[in-house]
Amino acid sequence: MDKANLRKLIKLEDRMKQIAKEDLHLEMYDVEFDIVPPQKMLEIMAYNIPTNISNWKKGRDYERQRTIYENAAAGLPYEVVINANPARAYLMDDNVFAVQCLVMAHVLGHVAFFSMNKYFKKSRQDIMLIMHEATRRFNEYEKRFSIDEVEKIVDAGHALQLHSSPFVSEETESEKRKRVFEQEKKRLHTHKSGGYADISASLKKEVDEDVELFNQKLWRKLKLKTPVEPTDDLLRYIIDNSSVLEDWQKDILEVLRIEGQYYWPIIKTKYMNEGFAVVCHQKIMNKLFEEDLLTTEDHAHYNYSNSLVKAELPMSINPYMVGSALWEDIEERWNKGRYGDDWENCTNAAEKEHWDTGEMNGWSKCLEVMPIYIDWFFWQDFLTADFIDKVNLYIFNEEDKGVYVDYVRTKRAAEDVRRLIIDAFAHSEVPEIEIIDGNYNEKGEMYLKHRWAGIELDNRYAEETMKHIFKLWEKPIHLLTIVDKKEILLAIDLNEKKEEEKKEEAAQSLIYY
Amino acid sequence: MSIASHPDWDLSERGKKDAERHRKKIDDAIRKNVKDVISEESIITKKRGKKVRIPVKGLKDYRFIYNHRKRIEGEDEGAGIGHGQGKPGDVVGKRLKQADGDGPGGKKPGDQPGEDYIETEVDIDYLIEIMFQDLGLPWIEEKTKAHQLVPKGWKFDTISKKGIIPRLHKKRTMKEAIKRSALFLKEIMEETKCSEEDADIALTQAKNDINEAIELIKNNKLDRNIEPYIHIEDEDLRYKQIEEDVELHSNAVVIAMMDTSGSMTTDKKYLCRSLLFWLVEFLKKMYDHVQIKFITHTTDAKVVDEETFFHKGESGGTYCWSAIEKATYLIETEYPTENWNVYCVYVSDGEDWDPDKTIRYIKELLKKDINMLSYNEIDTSQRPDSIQMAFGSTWGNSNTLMKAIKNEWKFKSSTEAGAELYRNDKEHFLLSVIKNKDHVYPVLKYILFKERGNG
Repeated sequence: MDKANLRKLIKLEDRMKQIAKEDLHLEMYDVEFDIVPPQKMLEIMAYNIPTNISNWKKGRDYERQRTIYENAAAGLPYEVVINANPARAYLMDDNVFAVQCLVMAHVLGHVAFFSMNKYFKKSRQDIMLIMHEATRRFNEYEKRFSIDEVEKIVDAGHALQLHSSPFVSEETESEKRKRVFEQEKKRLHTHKSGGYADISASLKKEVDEDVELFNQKLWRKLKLKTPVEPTDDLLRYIIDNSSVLEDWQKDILEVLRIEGQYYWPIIKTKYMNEGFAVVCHQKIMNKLFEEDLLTTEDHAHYNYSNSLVKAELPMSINPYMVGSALWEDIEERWNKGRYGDDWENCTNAAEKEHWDTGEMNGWSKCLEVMPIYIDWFFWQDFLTADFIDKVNLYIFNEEDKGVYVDYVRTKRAAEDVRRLIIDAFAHSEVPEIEIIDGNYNEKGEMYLKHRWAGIELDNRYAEETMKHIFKLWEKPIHLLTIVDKKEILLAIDLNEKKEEEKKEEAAQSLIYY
Repeated sequence: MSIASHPDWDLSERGKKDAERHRKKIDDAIRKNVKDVISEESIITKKRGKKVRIPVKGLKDYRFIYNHRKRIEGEDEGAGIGHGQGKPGDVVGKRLKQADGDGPGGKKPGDQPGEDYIETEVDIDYLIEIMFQDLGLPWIEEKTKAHQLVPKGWKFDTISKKGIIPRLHKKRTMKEAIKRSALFLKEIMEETKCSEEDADIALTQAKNDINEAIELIKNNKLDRNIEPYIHIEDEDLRYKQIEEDVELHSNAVVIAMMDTSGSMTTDKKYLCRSLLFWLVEFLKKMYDHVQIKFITHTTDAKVVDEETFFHKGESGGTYCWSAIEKATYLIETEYPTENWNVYCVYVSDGEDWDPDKTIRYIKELLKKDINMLSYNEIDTSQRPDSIQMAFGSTWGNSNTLMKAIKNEWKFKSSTEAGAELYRNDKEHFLLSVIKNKDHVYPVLKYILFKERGNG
């Protein structure tokens, strides 16, 4: 990017910010833009966070991106935004001027989303620094304990890092224990004060006989219980309770847990977030064109790029396209009063066609929704059958055609499509796994439970993930889940395997003497 | 807010370094899964080509995920959601069905092992390199009588005094000139008792004429302003000589023999071919000048080419001696052991109509003083060992040749990864039993254990 264009861009940036704040009423952190060459972009993309730690998986992704880029000159994003304060945005230096403007306006949309949506409130805003420092420390660990040892922990941490939502309670185990004790006491003793408690007669008798003794027993029972209550935060529990982890290993897991918490809201709001950023860049760019701050040529470039971003995808949902269309749909409905009982109950098609109460509340409705929703609720509350027909969302099915399997569009009703999308987002990405018992069989084994949500786990992946947990726990790991509609308990014990290996090694040593 | 342009933002080497680490992990995974790779059917049955795709285990990012395919099967939920113009019935995409799995009789898509494998494209040579590290032909000898002369190209090793200017060897020429002037200086100094410096000047002044130089000193006509330098005379000139380059090699021939009789079922033939396939590929890669001969037999043996050997099936009765006889004949007529290292590798299911005769022919073959005879018996009958022990050779007749050989010679036995291995060091005679795919690799390693020759 030459200097003249850079100066022009800096001027426009001020105006964009003004539009975002004054016209669109957005709050946002400061943004630092860095314009970088494609090679750097490849690296940033593979590492997610530019200062991220080294790992073979990042290397694999980097190589994949580079191959796609070098062979097809494709696969690079226009930008990468880091949710931090100040936010960091990386822009490709070969974007043409109009596209660079589009991308900057788009970034402002993302930064507003990060700044305003409540699910991002717990993300560490110094994530760049955290990862930078971690990289330095992990390099030291590699030198001291070998790359294999560090990799073992990092791979396990990566496998579990999305199981720590930013919204877990900060209570310590002993605080939890006290709270549960109080709750239990209250529950078990209510029948005395005339309340109805759902406990057995024998237990009732026991409680009545000696309250003090009973409480002591209850407390002792709770003291042995770990975790006191089932927990979803796998890494937290493992770090705090594993008997085999050393400090440096705990340090690695802590960092990866923070990284996981950083990704969590990004994953959960992908469609809202991308859609919102598209809506913002369109509004800001249109304003710039209105004010003649950009040329007709810029306009042509902009239109072309904008249409690429919003392409229809025959086999998936383009978050830029469908996400932005849904925001626009909300804005239109609340501008024209197309919501509520009157609207829902109206059966006159002609009347609906021209329905407009002129209340013009669209954008403020969007700003009301944006801070408090994640994708799942978003689809639930705003994905209407009308919208599904408007953007032509459909279900496709597999058809066996001999050598190939064809994917064929079905004629399922909009209501079916709606239900399917909402279902899919209900359990998007991360299945819920909770630790029920950290002292299973009274041998310190771990008992996990897959909280059933209608879809089975991939068993092969579950097994490998349990092996990762084993490496951090070094005792057998059990997982209660459902396979072929039956409840089963999977178990992993790598110690057993070692015995077999030993035998094999012994057999091998016989051969060459 | 700020915008900064970094056109020359330096690239850390991190991406490349981590990519290398990934590459290394793939190599390790291949090494670890070598017995899977080795029995990968697609490699052995493929048409000749250098690159093969092999599945590599364990390089995915494992975490808890849903099995969305099960959902598709379970209910009428559709395979996915898309959007755009069109109408029901439109084909929105397609995928190639996997070889195993899908379709009637195949495995359910959800059970496909492909799920946790990633495929990587590698060179066969590269595979051999990482799988057969440190392996080679055992008991190899220098057959001094008739090294094979192999033209290697041209070389410039020889230097001569005659030649053409373009091939002038400047360094050698200069060396010769220095050597000669040193001699001259010594002579001048002895003759005139002058200093080396004076002698040098005199020689330069006299344009390398030693007699004139001595005269100059004696007559005190030395011009001390002259900078001495070394003259190059015609006799100093040296030229590079071009000549044909040859290499000396120990001759080696490997005679690969295979039973293609009716009792060799598809399974057995497959095991047999995968053993010999890797042996042949390995030899081709490691030894530029190893000759490989292929013999197939039923009741009658014939020498065939590689293509026929690996791809044609036959059927009929079995005389194992016919193959041994053919090998002995080949050695007598084409590969006498005075000049050749001879390796014989024979694979059969052991079903032999005349084992006694085979033993006689094996004795004949061993008398030829060959470097190694390896007999590998394919035994795919899945009977428990206890039954085998109870019934001995009366169980079927698939143990006859192995049993006959073991009665005739003594062997040390061992096992590796379940494969039974036997050896007789005196006769350089190796036996093995291959019961399934997993045994192919340990047997190969056993045959190609090159340290064996040294103890």
